[in-house]
Amino acid sequence: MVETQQGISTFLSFGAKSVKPEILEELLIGRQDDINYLTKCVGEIADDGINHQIIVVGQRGMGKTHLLRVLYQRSQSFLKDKKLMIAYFSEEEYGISGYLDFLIRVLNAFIRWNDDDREELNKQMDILRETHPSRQIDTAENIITNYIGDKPLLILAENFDDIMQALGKDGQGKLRSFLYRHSRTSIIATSQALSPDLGREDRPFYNFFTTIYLKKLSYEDSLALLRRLAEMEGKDKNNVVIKHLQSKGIAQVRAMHELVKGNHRLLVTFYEFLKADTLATLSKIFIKTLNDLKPYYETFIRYLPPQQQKILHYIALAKIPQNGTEIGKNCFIEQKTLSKQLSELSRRNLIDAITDPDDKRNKLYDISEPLLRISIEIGEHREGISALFIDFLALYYSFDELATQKNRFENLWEYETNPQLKEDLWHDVKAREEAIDLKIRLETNRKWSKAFLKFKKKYEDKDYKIAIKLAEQVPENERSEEYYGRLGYVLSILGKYEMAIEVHKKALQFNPKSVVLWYNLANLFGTLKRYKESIEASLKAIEIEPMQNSLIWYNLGVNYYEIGEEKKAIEAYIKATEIEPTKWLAWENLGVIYAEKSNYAEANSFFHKSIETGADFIKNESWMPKKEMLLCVSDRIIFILQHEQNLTIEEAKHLENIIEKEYEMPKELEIPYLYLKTFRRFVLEKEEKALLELPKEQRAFFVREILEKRKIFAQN
Amino acid sequence: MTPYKIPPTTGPMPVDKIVGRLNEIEDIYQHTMAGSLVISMIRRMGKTLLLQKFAYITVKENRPNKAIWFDLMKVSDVTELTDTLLMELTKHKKHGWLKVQFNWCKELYNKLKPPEVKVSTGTSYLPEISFKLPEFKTEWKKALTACIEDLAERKAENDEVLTLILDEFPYMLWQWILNKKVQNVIELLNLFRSLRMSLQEKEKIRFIICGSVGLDVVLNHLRSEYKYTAEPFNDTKSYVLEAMSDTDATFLCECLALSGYTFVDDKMLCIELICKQVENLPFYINKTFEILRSSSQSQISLQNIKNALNELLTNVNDDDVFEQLDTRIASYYPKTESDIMLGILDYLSIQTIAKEEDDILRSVDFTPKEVKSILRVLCKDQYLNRTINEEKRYYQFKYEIFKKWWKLNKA
Repeated sequence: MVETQQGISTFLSFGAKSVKPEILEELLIGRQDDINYLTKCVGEIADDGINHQIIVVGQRGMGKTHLLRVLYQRSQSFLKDKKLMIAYFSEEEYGISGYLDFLIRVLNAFIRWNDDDREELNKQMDILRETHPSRQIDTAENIITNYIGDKPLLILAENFDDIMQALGKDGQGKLRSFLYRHSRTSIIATSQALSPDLGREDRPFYNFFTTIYLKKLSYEDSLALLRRLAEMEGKDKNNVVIKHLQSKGIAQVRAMHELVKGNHRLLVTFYEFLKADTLATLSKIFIKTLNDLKPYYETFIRYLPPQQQKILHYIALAKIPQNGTEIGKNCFIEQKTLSKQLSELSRRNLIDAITDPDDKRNKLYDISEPLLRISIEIGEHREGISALFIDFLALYYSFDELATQKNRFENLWEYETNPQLKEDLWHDVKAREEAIDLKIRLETNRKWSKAFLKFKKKYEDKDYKIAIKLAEQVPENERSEEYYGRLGYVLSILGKYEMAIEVHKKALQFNPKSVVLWYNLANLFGTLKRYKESIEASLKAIEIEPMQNSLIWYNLGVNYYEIGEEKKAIEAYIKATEIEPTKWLAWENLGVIYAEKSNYAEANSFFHKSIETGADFIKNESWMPKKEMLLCVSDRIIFILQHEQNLTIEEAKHLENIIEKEYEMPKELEIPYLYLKTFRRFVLEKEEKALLELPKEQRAFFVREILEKRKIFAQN
Repeated sequence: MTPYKIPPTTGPMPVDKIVGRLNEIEDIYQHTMAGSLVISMIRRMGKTLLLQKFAYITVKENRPNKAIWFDLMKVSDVTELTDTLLMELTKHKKHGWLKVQFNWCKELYNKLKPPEVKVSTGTSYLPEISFKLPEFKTEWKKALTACIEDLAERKAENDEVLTLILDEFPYMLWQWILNKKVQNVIELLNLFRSLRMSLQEKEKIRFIICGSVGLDVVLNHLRSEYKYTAEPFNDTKSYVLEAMSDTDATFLCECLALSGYTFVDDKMLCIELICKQVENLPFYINKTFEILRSSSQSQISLQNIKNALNELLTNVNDDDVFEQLDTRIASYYPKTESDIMLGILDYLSIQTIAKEEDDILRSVDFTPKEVKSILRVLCKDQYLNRTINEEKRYYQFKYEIFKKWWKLNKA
């Protein structure tokens, strides 16, 4: 082999063909079935005297070069044993203008990959050059057949659709004839799309090949690939990405996976996203990545006929799916020409045809890859690149996700002290706000049935009883995740929990990876005391986003507690507090569990946290009556005074301070505050008169319930 | 015979691996002992493999009638034709059994070749002479005649017959027509007719003309568009390649199953179902196995086989597997005829039983003369079967699988 082989960094910059084979083998994730099948086929060609004619079809960046490179590497043993000859074409076979060029490529491939035979083959090439043009094809065929002798020949070629086009009907006929005359020749080739010539009855290769369609990476594959990349990169450096991918990074992988639609190459490009510390940094990397990808996407478009370019630009900039009439009108293309161009763009996997929900006889057309749309927009946006980031957010994230992100950034912004980071966070808040606005505009422009729009309106107006009636009128084809999600929520508000559960299950069929839906479902089960099912649903949500949502962990803790699994409940509450250290409910419940177990030391420490975080809870959560919550805090203060033998003056003052400043001394906490202060002065600072300053009835309670019980607990 | 491993492939294969068709080969053999033959059938029916096997057997078994297979799909120009024949003949000559001197060819070549042109043979199977040089551009008829005459004068045993299989001959002519070389087509057909007549007298050379584009299609086109009136193959028998026999189809399945498949249900029941579903058509047997691999992890069960047929008939990725039934009508027939064909096929695809000609006439909006003529063409093109019952003509799709596809995707 003559090509220099590079390491992982080359892989990250797309050069699969020049990366070390062992690295490629390790990174071949999501293609194991395909590569094993192809390897088996090569074995059969070499050992069993049979042929295979296979085309592997996949979009750009789906790992075709990678696959073929690994296949070539796996075939080395057959080459060494001289059971097989392989002509492995280079990826970009430019300059094939006919059948003779194809044969020359076969000879060049022999020369490139076979050091031992290079000299002799070059001599044969010289003979070919000297041969009269009318006989060069015959001579080239003969050089090839003489060289391979009685061994089978396997041609490994990429971009076979381009080769077919370059060969033309005449060249294809000659190639087919060669294959039948030299019947130990096999072709395993890759192609971005199935050449139309393979499906046309009047073409030589009509239905000649077995087709393997490469599947897009699943989410699990994407995660596995990025982890493998991180591990391999981490061999050289102290890689933080490995750790990141075990926690928060998992959610980011989901975003990236959705964004690149399971495309290997793009996923690898977006690997750098994982190194972003904050979403603010993400926006910078996003811009850089898009600029880097622009030339790549331009190659999608550059070689298209002008009319197809126009159509693609129009659909991309329209943002929402467009019907044929609009496309024709805006691109100044007649309808009869338009349909041919649209079907060609569909065949090339550049646009998707969707049935019009208003009129099933019509089709709407949309760009197949979100990144292609954004890349086209780069050259069109007057507002510059920041608008694109907002588009990216709006296209990818749901309303709920954007709202959550906005809240999160607002919180971070509030507490950030570094001016530069504070400014970055502020940009992120604004970006989410604008993305939400844009999403509303896009949704408004989308063609929905009147029934669906009315249903949404009533839902947003919280007129749930009417909404539920309107829901029945929504056409079947609009009953999506959004529809079932909203309907499920309406049913749960109206107390129809069983029905709400069934509707949530339907919503999950559309998007089994929706954390919100699993979370809601867990709550519904919990409400119906179906704790085990609730736990299952919570675990599903956690599987998708392990470290994103403290509420899910909290609910999991509650359900484990209800079925007596205290240890698991504690673990779940701890997770909740790790994600959200201000999670009052979790601290509170942890304290309760330990108190029940008479482990007062632990209980006290959790109740301290509970008191510290309670004020924040009152400010942000309105679902729990404030009075009820404050009485709970009051109880915890008394509990600490009763049980904590080592309470220090500073700790007591700290608690007093929280009640004064954070809780702003509400009525419900006035007396516990008084007890706390008295305790500090009388017990810790030994100030005798402090007890006497308490009103009589409170003094009696203080002595009986705090001082006496404290002695009893101390003895125990 | 013990089944051997072959993959579900639809391309070329080593000739010793080609499955079955021995009865057809004997039929063809008997026909060619008496005269020439025209074989027409739609694409992907296994014509080429059958004829390659036929040629292989006749030579391997040293039969009195030996056949040589020529692939004419690659011949894009009349000047390439003789060289294509010479190349294959040289190969067989070097194998020893074909004793031909090529004296006429050499004489013609030496007479006209430019002295300065060196035609490198370089390797063993390239003939020393070539008529593709510009000097022979107007002499192609002489070159072809010389080549056939040389064959006629070969040194042969008594009663030995030589059969020249001109595979894709009609396709080659059709491409020439599309490339505006109609005059060459007509001249070649005329030349063939005269050569055949003279060789027939010598009773030494036979031709098998084979192709997916029917010779009738080419000749009808020439008649209608170019007033061509000759009948170059009117004395030649037609042979229809049918689906495989039950034995061959079963054996094919057994061979295919050896390439990594597992039977979940009873093996013979499964094979029987596969063959029945696709009516023993070898291409569709292969396709069924392909789908079983890609969609059912190579697990063969009765249900998976039914699913595979469903996928074959309805999956858009497999659409072009049958699409030829539709496109060949548009490719090879004028619109006036193709409209009638499509109308008839649409009608018959939704019928449960064979329909009487009168019913068909009533169901389509064309004149009885046009419809009757087209029904005949559809039968010759293997779309339809005709049966006669109580002096009435009944028509239905020849293959049920084609009918199902047409009904689901076209009608």
